[in-house]
Amino acid sequence: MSDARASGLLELGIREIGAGLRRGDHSPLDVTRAALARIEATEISINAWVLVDETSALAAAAHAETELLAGDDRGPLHGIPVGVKDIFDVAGWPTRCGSASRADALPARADAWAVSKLRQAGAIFLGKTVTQEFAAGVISAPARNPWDPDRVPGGSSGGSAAAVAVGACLAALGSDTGGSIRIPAAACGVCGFKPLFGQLDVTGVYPLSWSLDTIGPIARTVDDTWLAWRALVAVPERTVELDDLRDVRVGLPRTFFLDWVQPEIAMATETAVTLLEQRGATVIETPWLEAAAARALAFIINRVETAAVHERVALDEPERFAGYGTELRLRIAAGREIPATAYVAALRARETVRDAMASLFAMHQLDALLTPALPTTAVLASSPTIEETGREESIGAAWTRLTMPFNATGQPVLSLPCALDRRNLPIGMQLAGSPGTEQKLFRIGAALEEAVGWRTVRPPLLTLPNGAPERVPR
Amino acid sequence: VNKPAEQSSRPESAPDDIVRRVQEIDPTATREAIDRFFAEMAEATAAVHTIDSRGTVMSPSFTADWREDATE
Repeated sequence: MSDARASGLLELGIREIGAGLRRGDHSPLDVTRAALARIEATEISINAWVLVDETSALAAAAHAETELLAGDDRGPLHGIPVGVKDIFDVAGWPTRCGSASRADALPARADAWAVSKLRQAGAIFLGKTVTQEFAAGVISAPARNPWDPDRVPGGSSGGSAAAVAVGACLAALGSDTGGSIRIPAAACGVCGFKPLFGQLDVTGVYPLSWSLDTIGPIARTVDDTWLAWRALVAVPERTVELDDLRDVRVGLPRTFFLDWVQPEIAMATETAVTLLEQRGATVIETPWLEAAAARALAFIINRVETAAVHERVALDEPERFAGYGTELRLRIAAGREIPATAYVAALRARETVRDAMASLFAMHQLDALLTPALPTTAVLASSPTIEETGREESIGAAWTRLTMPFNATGQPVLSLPCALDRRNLPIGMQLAGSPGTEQKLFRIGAALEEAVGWRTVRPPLLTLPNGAPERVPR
Repeated sequence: VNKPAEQSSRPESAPDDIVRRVQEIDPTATREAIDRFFAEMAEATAAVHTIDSRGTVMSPSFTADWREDATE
């Protein structure tokens, strides 16, 4: 297969690639080699991977090829190259969690539950992607944003989102405790799905805050995300149909979610409303009075539980703790000083917030809430400050402000790109649904994606000449 | 669309004994960074207390679907 044709494969969706695999137009080895070549061509700009294992990926691809030729079909992800955030255990690879303190980590003995599910579905694991240290933050250095490599990809699953955005893999696993799937998805112009809290097993994933931790897929389109999620939950195969939305009711909580955002993001939200209405959906104003409290209680739970997760290292292994980054060390040392009463009050308030959200959905017969995912587009890595929102806050506070409330409620949330700002940077929206109605959520997302015309939009990085950049040392 | 500029964190100082304990574990932590952490925490705690005072807990049966996920 020619290089150009192989590279073109990666512009297709998972469903289209799979159809070609089954027709014999191309093989899992072709797709995997194309993905490895894409990593080679883009890594010098985006630094999305911490480990690429060509040998095991090609062996898995060869195995998938044999299986498919024998008629042993594992489903839509069979023969599809994927990535995994470096807080998930993958048998044979170390789980370093983006921390110098784990530089000596031994290879994991077993796959995390989610990794084993995707492996059973026939996915080809290429390697591990960059994470913010222990998934605690939104910068994901040294990964960079494919839309502008001077900017951050968001985090903490920043490597996964950046890799997907350039087509270096068709899907990647991420985790979301305060927005860590949706934030990088929005910043990198791809889709991300935070499932219902507790729906997916987090065994083998390094914890950040166990009352909030969720894992899920990042992929380039709504349909690809749906297929990756389906492989994790094993729901029946159904196409996300693109019919009209006349049976759909969407709530728009302007207060809080549009109060302090970049003006272009507010405009993109209004455009999304118009597009949904043109498809037949009913969009109504639905203030969510508890949104600020929801964000606050998740913040407290997160800080206390993060301190608890890392407390033994902080107290008993000072040399290892010194290998943690400055920000995380402070978060752990100071998090231990948060009063127990504040933590318990946050847990109790969470029940009220969840009830209020259920009540909002019931009262207005909602199928989803629509909000921006981020208050700004991607910020510069050299100076990650928040501008144009009318509010003075750190990037960590700003970039979790719109996502974290839904970690408090635990409800499923789909993030998808909807527009570009004047700097040609992606703007992401969130569709927050209710438990058990995920398919409808994806249907609304797919309709919005089609209305926006995003499926063929690609970052400018992919228009760079296909040279042969030197391999980034690992 | 945007509201007037708002400062999200109030300038509050963490008590000296807390600063001492934090710095025992993380000797590189500055007073300023610790103050900033606790100012954010104070703001969050105040926001959570607005929920406590509302008393809007619904019937458990009403939100059963939303609670199935709870593992805590």
